[in-house]
Amino acid sequence: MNHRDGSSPAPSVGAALVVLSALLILTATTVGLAFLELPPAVHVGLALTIAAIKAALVAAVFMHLLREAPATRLVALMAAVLLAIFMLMVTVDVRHLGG
Amino acid sequence: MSERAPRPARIAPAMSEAVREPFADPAHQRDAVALGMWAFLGQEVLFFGVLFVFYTHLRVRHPELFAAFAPRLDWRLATAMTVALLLSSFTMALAVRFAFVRMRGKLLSSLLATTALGAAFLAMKGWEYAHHVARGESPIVDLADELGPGPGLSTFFGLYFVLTGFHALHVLGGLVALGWLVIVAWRTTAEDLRGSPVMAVGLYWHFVDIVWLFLFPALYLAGRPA
Amino acid sequence: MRSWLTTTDHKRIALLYLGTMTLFFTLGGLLATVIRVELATAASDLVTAETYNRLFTLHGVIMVFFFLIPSIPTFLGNYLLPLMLGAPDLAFPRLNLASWYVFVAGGLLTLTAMVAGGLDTGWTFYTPYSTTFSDSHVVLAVLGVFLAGLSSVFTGINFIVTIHRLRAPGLTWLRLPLFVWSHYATSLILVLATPVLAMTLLLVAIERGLSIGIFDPEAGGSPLLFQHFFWFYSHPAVYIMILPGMGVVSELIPCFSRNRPFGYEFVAASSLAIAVFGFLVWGHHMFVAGQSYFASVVFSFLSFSVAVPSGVKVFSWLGTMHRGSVWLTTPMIYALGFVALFTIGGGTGLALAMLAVDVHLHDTYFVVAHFHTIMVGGMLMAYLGGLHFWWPKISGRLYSERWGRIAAYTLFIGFLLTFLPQFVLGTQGLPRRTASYPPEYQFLQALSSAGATILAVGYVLPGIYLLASLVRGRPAGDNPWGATGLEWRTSSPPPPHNFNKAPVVTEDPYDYPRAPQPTFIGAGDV
Repeated sequence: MNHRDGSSPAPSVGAALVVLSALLILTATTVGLAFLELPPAVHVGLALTIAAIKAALVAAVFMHLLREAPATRLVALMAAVLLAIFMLMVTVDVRHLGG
Repeated sequence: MSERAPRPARIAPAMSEAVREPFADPAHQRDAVALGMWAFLGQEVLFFGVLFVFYTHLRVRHPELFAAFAPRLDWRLATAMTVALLLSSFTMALAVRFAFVRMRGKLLSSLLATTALGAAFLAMKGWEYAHHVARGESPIVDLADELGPGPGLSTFFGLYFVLTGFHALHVLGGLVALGWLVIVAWRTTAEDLRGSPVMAVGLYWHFVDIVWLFLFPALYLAGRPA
Repeated sequence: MRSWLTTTDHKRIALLYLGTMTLFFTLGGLLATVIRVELATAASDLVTAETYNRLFTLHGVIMVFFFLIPSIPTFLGNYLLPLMLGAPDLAFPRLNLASWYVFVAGGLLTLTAMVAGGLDTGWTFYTPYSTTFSDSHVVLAVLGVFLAGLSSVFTGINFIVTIHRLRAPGLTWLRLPLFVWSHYATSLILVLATPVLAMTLLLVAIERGLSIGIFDPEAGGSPLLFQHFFWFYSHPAVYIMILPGMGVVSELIPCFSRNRPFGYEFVAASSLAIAVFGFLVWGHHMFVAGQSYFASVVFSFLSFSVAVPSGVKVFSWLGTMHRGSVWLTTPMIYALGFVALFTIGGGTGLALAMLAVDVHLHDTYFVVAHFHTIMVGGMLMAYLGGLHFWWPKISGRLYSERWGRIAAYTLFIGFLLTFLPQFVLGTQGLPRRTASYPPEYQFLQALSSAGATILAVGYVLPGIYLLASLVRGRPAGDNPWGATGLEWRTSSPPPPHNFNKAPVVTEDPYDYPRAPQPTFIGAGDV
């Protein structure tokens, strides 16, 4: 092929297959957990954690964030942190209002 | 000022096919496109973030809505949609790889596979919408219908349609971009393939996938599935 | 004409923005004129209360979204960033052109809403009034603002990538001009805050169409949620407006003090700190809106901390002048006006950040005067200062220094006369947004309207002598002010690719002790 296989940012076919399998297994897990008899807070916590792991896998490998420059990773991180702050403050306010 | 369009002098003519405006070489351009695209996705995170804050607000204030109405959503169909999107992300990642190593045939087939999986997702979504609207589960019903005045069926399905609707529109946009990539790849020889546009669309496509990865448990698995 | 509408040259796109925004500014100014004429007397005799609501709403929408937010970034930033970085253009030139078209489309939608009958929600589009009760053209207007926001996002992305990836060889981060630093911080806010407004406005439009109840407590929503969303964007938006202005002033003061900026690293870092803190204080707009006490206390505390990096900047400007030799040209008068008015505006902001004081002053003329001092006094002074500083570079011509100084002083006096009385009106308890008021406030209101007349003269004057300079002005030369910075090393106006020979940077920024001598000899002084 043409020059520099290393110039591709995307994962190799093998690595992509591994990530895909992990994503499918995690999907089956989160569906299965939804049927268990657990307190609501635990349900939310588990579902959110698994979704976050899946998102991180997609971002790190499929979106090759791990191979990108520090500035690119920083921009992605900032967006995630900012959303967390936004959500936290609004939730804190809503909860403290009561009623 | 002169009437000439700006063309940087620094670009060597041999590279003019692969590189646009102010960049010195293909790696530099790819790097800049990746940063620009991630900045764009950063704004998308907060765009959808508003919807998730709205969701959190409703879930904290009115958990009973989720217990009552979330079981009406079809978790089996949604699981199938999740699998379709995950597979499409996989084929998209391959497409980016094949674009950079200039394997035109494999690029075209991965792009077409991604398009087909995305279209399958939208078809399932459309079927699901039609099903809910037919059963009167839409935001446009009279408030008094179900639980009497106050938050009720139309609130929950309003949330459902707004959240999934914005996501579905993004999928649709992704399909248009994918169609454009297919046409470009079709018309280009292997030597002239450019990786950056495929990568940019790919990043967008994966992001739309990630949004769904959160919507799926948030809506479909929120109540005890029936 | 066609070559302008299809250009991807950042300098031409900047001028397209300048033209568009000047039109919007004129329109917003005319609306303000009608408002001030109405307020000159206590009764509502010129316009009805309904018309008055539409006037101040459109004045706010046009000035905030179509002038203040885009002004310095899309005009001066667009023009100067590649020049300051030694780059041939922005990273994505076609995206840059697209952002202008999106901006114009948004402006046209908003103007359509205005011509069709206007809207009366206030520029903040507060629910439930905007979603349920107002019968004005809310949907058209919010879609227009949505498009303006999209245009901002495009510009922000372009700036971030350009600053990261297109710096000239040798131009390290700590050699960047402070203008670039402040635009970097601004771009981060543009990219990360604007989408929140975009989605919020879409939700308002959806609510008007479908009545889902997102902001309606009857249906499980909350009007407070709208305010959280809106201010999560709109407070950082204040810093979108003021940070580029600070960047301009940080260029002007070292140049006209012939001195290095005092504490360069701290000024650069304070831009980033303002961007970060700016994201954490939105709740201080909601102290009396029914927000929980806990959240109010947290937001009040954070609002005080944002004053620290702003203070760092003010002290740096004073420190720079302290050991320099100040040269009072037109741009420098604007810069000094900025420092004075920004300090007044910032200090009164702290008064409003205090929970107890805010309960008294909320929604009074004190608030109006406070943000106009920051926005008009601060931001617009910086904009005009920047315009006068880089005008010789952009046009290649010198304007009349005598008229420049007259206009700058006129503006400053007009501004103080307009808005200082409004601070007093606010502490006396006069609520804002009313067409009529009790007669005992008549004197101060009339004083404010008189000041506005002087202010208007101050705005018209630069329009005249700057345009005249295009015809009659003397050639400016490459570097009339003897300034440092890469933009002064190329011709005036710069060639299409900005530099005939790609620049290489070998020295620290603002090396004024060794800067070239000014070639400019103003109205009789050096």
